[in-house]
Amino acid sequence: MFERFTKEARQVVLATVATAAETGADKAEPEHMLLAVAAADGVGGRVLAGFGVTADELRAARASESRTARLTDEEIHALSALGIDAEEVFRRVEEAFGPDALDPPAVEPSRRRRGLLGGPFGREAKKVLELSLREAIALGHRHIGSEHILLGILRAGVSGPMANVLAEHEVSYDGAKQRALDELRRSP
Amino acid sequence: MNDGQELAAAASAADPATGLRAVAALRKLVDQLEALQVRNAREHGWAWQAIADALGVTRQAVHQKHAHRTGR
Repeated sequence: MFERFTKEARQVVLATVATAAETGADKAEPEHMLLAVAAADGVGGRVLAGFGVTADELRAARASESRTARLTDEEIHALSALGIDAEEVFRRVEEAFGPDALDPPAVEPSRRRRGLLGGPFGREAKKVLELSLREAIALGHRHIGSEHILLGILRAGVSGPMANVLAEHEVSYDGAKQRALDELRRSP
Repeated sequence: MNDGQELAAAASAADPATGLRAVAALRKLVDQLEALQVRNAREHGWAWQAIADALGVTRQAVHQKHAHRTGR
């Protein structure tokens, strides 16, 4: 299904898989795709930059998530009702093993890369790839570029702290579409 | 335990929502601690069998669950 992808869109797909593997994720998700689009110097990346969204900000949001992914405030509160001081557990673990000890270790990409088609993508990421094809068709484009992947991501929706970054910069599907068309008119 | 925590405990220890959430959180905490301790044991040269014995599970179970994370 990648034959209509532009060179740049293929690089985004490869970067998505690499990003997922770096973070130790089992499968690539729309969040990894969003980061890959933002990091690539293509139409999709320029659209995001137009909203003020950078790869660095998305990365920072993800990093802050992995630090709090351990337990939510509600969970910590529930444990304290049982007399378990989770904060104290974390403090002792960090004392013994260092600050990132409870975060999953990075997995070497080669260990996880089980072939590029289908395998490394989670269900939502596959949906994004399908949606990007649909976006291209709907716009009457013969190619699938990073801008279509971005529109696919926004259609499917991202979860977690990256969604907050998008919301803060008021990134919408309609707005992104308009910016993408403007970009393409400027540099077809 | 400070006053705030005591108050929270007294108010919610019998509340099913809090109790169930605590159980789920505990499970999450156990999983994270297990991954950390297994990784640490492997780095200290422990065999999978020794780790399995200490955890009270089979060697296959611990290997299947953790081998991909420790990269060995």
